[in-house]
Amino acid sequence: MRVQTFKGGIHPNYNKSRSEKAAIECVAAPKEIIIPLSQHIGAPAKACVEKGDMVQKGQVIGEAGGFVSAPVHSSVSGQVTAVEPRPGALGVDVLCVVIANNEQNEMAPLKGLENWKTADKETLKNMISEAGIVGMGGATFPTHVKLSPPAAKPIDTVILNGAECEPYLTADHRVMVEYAEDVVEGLQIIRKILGAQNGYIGIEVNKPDAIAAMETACKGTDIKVARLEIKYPQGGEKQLIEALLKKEVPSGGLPMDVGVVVQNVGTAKAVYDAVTKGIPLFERVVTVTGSAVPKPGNFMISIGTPVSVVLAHCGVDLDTAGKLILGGPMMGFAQYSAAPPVTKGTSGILVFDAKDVTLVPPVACIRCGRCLHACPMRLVPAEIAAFSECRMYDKAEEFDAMDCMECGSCAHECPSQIPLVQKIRLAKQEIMAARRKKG
Amino acid sequence: MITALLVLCGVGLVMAILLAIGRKAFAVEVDRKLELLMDIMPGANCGGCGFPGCSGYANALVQGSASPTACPPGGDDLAAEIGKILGVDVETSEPMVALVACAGGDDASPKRSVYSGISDCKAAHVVAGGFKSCTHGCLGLGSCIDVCAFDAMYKTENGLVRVDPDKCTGCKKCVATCPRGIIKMVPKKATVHVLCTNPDKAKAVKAVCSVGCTGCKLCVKQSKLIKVQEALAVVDYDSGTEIPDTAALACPQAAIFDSREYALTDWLSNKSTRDTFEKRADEWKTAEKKRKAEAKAKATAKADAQKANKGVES
Repeated sequence: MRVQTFKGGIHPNYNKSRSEKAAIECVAAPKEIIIPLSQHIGAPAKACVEKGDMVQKGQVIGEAGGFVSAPVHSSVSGQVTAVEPRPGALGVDVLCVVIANNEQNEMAPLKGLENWKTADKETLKNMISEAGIVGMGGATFPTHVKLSPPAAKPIDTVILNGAECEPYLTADHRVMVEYAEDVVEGLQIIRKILGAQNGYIGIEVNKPDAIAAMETACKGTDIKVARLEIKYPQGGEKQLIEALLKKEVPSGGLPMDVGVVVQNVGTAKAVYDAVTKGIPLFERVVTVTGSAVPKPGNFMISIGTPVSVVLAHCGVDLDTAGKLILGGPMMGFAQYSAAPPVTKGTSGILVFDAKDVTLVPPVACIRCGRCLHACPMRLVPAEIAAFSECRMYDKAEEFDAMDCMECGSCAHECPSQIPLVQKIRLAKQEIMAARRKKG
Repeated sequence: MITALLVLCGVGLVMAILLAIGRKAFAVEVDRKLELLMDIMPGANCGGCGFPGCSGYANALVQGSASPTACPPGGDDLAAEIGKILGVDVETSEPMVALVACAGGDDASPKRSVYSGISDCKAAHVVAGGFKSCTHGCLGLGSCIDVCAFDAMYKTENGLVRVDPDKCTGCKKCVATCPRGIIKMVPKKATVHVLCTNPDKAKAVKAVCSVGCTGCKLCVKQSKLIKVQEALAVVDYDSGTEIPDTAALACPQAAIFDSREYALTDWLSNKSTRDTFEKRADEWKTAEKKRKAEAKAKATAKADAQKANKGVES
């Protein structure tokens, strides 16, 4: 079968072999769970428990703070010991609900639908919204918002993103292999809500077992399993649409502008669990790997488990490690401590030996144009970065800096080691500030 | 030869006449006031007035949509001259200067991570809240220095930035640039400042910085002009600037700077200055303790004497 892809992109070392065969293993929740109230894009959730309250597993502890927001649920049963700021994955303290786990696993009453096919769209959407489901590929955009497109923009296609193009990560891969039927069922629910005729599942060809599993699960349905070229950032929404449908999302637009909604495979599984079993999003699959991890693998981890606990489980010695990243190596966040908890968007925890971490000071641009070829959005990264450096942010805007999705392909390719993404990100930030000022 | 000269002179004459006529015919009316104003503008085009450069400000003045006191670099002198040209009365105001309210250098608030990105505070601040232990502290990469049009800001040796109040014109460009929001406008005549903006509680502050304000309120006892908001001491510059040096001496964290005693550069980066201060502070604290003990002893003695007197009377 034909292998589909987009224009541009890069071929980093994938390094997936250490964890791709490891079956998902459950890690017991620790004694203390720290659940941030802001794990998604949008307004933070509002705490609805107080210090001293007893909570059950799956109980709502934070209510959605608006439409673009998501509720937060407890991942253990026990007593709330504090509602206070704790270190978050972005380096600044965030308001968290701290729960002392009583290890009784008392479940809150959960109710799913026996037959979701007879339920109406609003009921399904409410169930997804109440389960606190957000995009689990890492962007953490509330799913129910994505499933509520304006009437003027009908959706005809839903694409499930199983590309998992970030190096090292294998969490989505294992979800597709082990929960193939759940994922397909989740896709069907999403399609029903959106009234979309077409369903695709895009998978990079370096996951033959996942492709096989999905094809088996899709038998008897009209869902197409598409093979994608092994290339980064194949899993970007706009790149997936380009690869599968040969459509281009307009500059500054969203996939819905071309009638498409893209969801991560992990999100589809969460949707299935929420609708059929009533289970809210309180645990997720996380890949733990990297050169400093003696026992790499894929783990089902309760949301709120501190990263240090997970690393201890995998036998990591943090004193000798050189770098800790939450998420993938291309778009993840480097950490200065292992105190932050695993959240809904944590797809991976990577730890590298100090000898693998090299910091090379940037030198001058040699105008080789490699960043140009690498950019999947067809921008001119070196030029935008140069404008950013000169504080000519209006010029950067003219060169469509706002279309940059910060995938890091340009910086990865740059022989001069110029931090292109960081410069472009700074320009984007300044452009946004200028737009806000203008009103 | 002669013909060439005559032709050239003739052409010159004709052109001169044409120009002279053109000057009269196409003359553009320029407000005399605008010209006068442009002559006295500082010419830094800093934008501190809120208009696009000095000419923008002069135009706005002529149209009456700007205040004569809006130019921070020009200060009171310029305002008075503008007033003269425009024929309006100008009220003078207190000159303000910028102050970077952070004294936590590399030694006091160590780096928590290695940062190898671009040398810009805004960019560094977005990467995990900055590389410094204190998420409020000065990152010292100097984005404010880059935007200062008056060469009034300098890096210190230990990763901080200080403002030279004599060069600062109060244009507030640095205030708008700092991603941490730690640059404040203070009256130029003020001498005592709290060099910390961390509003966190004592334990959290002590964990990230050795010279951070913990909100202990010991300075409040020395001067009513210092107030504690959340857990941070703030000087109320609006009410006055006369703060005794004991306010700085009383601070257990040495977070209060007194410009009457020390130079700002030394205070921020010179260890021996800090040592001298600590010695002085210790001496003052011991003296204060002694004074209090004596006062207490006196009070008890007085009370005892009164009691005895009462006993005699009864």
